[in-house]
Amino acid sequence: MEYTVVSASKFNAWFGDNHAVKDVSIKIEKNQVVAVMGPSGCGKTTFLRCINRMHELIPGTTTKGSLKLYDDDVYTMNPIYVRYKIGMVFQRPNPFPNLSIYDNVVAGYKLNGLKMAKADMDNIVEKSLTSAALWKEVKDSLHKKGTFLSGGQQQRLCIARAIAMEPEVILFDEPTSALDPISTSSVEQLFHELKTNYTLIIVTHNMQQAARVSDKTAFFYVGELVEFDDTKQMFTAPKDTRTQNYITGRFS
Amino acid sequence: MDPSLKTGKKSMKKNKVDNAAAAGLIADKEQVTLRENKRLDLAYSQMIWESIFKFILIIMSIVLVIIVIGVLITLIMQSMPSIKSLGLGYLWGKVWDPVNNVYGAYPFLIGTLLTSFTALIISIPFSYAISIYLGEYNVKGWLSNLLKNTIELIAAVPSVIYGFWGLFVLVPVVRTFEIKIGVAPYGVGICTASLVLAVMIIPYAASLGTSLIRMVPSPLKEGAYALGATRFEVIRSVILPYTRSGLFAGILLSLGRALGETMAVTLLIGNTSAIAHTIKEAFFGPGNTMASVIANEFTEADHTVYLSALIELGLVLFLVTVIINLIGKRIITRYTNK
Amino acid sequence: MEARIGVRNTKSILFKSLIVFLAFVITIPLIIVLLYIIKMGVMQVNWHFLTKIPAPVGETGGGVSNALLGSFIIVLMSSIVAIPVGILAGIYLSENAGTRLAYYSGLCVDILQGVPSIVVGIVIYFWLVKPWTLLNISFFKFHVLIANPLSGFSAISGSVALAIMMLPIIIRATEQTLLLLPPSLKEAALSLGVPYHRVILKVIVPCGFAGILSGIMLAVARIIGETAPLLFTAFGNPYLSISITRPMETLPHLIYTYATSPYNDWINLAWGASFILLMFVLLLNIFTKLITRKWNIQL
Repeated sequence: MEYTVVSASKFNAWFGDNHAVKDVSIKIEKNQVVAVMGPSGCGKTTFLRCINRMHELIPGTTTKGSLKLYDDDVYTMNPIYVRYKIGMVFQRPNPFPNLSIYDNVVAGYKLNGLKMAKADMDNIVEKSLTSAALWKEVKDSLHKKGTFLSGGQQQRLCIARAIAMEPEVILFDEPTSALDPISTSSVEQLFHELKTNYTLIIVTHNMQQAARVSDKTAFFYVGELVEFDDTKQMFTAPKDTRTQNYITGRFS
Repeated sequence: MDPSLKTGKKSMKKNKVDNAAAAGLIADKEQVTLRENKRLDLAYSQMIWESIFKFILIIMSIVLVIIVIGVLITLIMQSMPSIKSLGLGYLWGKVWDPVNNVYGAYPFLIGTLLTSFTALIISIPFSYAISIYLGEYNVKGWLSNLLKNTIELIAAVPSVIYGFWGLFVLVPVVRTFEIKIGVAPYGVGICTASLVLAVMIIPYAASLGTSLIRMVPSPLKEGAYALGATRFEVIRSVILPYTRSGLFAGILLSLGRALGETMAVTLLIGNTSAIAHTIKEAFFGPGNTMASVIANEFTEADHTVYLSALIELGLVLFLVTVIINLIGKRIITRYTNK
Repeated sequence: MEARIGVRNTKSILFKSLIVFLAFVITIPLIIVLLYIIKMGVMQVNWHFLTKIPAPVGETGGGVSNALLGSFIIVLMSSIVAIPVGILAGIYLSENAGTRLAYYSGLCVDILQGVPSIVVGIVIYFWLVKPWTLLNISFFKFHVLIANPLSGFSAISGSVALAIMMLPIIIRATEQTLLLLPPSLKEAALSLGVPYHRVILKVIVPCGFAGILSGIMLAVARIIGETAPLLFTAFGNPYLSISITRPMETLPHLIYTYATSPYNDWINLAWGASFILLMFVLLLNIFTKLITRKWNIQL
């Protein structure tokens, strides 16, 4: 059965006077991988950051319209709770440099002072690292700091860190643009496995990546959601000319 | 907090779990509800702590402003008696005789200016040399680090130790020198204080100058070298003009430091409030600075006008050093934002 | 043409020699001062010196235990006040750069950094010493009539004066350290649902620990040797005292008072105290450098 996890209805976002996201309406269903693509400055990252209320942390920003997680408007919910339910992985891998790998994975618990039996915590660490396809590589160095990990491994650590919170949705902001091709493909592999348990929304600059990994794709252009459709459909027979032009490389 | 958040909270708790349960995705609805509720409660209490923390941060910054305003107001209020009864003429009154209730700040102004500017002039060649050496000739390496650490050490030594040392080592030397040039052999005095002060203020201009010279963009220097300039010429025609205002700011900061220095000066200046008759006498003889007279006579000031006259000196010191420091810092920020 | 180049080259070499000479010659005064203090002071230091209070005039012997304890207590109290306030203010300035309060607050930090230390002493005298004197007079009229001019000076007032001097150093160090941290660090923590205060206190501050710690140690090294602010606040006390509402002796103040006294015993005590003070300051500075070097490499 499918039902809507994230839905936006005439959602707008501003940076001061700059109208970055214009009247976006979209319905994203559970356990899907949705790619959000578009040229630079089209508002895709801004929209993504509104979903877990990271956008408002920048001073001078405003929003309007409804953006819902299930039936609850994200902007009437407690923002800390929202971010607990919606995880995020960033463009540059950002594990905490002063924490060990183990502590990085459960950072969401430890930093919040949430106490747990050691066995439970070990469990979460193993589960999350396995889901992030990192367990085998680090299981003997869990208590070392993660500075020796490669870029791809660090990013998977960040993914494990997000997964450990058991979120409903995981947002990815151009997660592989800072990684080499091998790391990129290992992360893309992950998307496929993760979608059984989570809903993934991935902002990407890379059209081919969107085509490879996603079930559905959204195309943003100058702040508007131009088209949202099954990926296969979008890339073979797009409905809007702007989408068509973007896909064929008339602009990027 | 938005009241709708509270109701949203209740409906959210119910809906979420119902939705998920309806989707047949959770086995143990009770367990999950419990955990979610706990988490939600935590989130709400955390929001309260967030606001408290942000409020505390703001308070701390306001405290800083209050301290500065408080200092200014206290100084002004406590100088009032003297400002009222002595007026502005106090500042260039030539006689300081508390016993007979005569107050004039001129001797201290002279003392302060003489010591500070002499110290400044003496220190400039050394500060510049250190800046150029560490900034251009020898930027990295063990010798450079050694010199840099030594300069920082000069600034670290407490001023009372400089004064104490000066009193027992430098003063006799100066005394013999004064005998040689035929001046009254006090030993203590403006010149001794200036010498020690000069050494003490070198690190300030030197460390600032070093950073500034290191910041000169390479393309600028390389262009000059490519034209066949020697090291000296590059320094003279490229680096020094480029850093000119920054180096000037360094001098201002050194000056500010010199004006406010109390302990070393008090120990070495001889503590006389009389004005000398000739320049030679003034320079080689004892004197007083604004800071040293306050240090010496504050606790002995028994009547209001006496005390308040001293505080007025403190007010002048405060205003002058603050203005000099702010100008210096402005120049530097404009520099680093270039 | 070649002669011209030769002249220019010679000038360049002469200039460099001048610069090198001036730069290094300045280390000589420092070495002289250090060696002299060590020479005069090291002979004074023994167990007796460290544990006894100064002997009355005319008697030999005595030590500086009152000043050692006093310095320790006063510096400790100043740190307890200045460190949290300084770090929190530094956090505010780095997190809210660009707001009006941050501008004026930063201006005040710059002002405080340049205030002569004796002016701070004057102000604290009026804030904390004089009221305390008046309080003592009104409550203990009889006590004061027995000629106790020290009735207003207190260790607390000295600590407050020194704390004010520590603040700018700690604030600037904290602010600059935190500004250098990558913003992705804060973002990562916030996106996990960690509230702002925990992000700052459990992620940002620990990551900037090295810089903040070095700021703290520099501030301590600075005030340990400060005398002027203590002249009219903590004053001095010939006896060993732990009462913070009474005058207290400190190392730099003892040095100042005894150095200018006409008694040789006291002057010797001042040398010993100078030696100890100097060693403390040097050790603190070296320690600070070692720590920043060690931790900076890891970060």
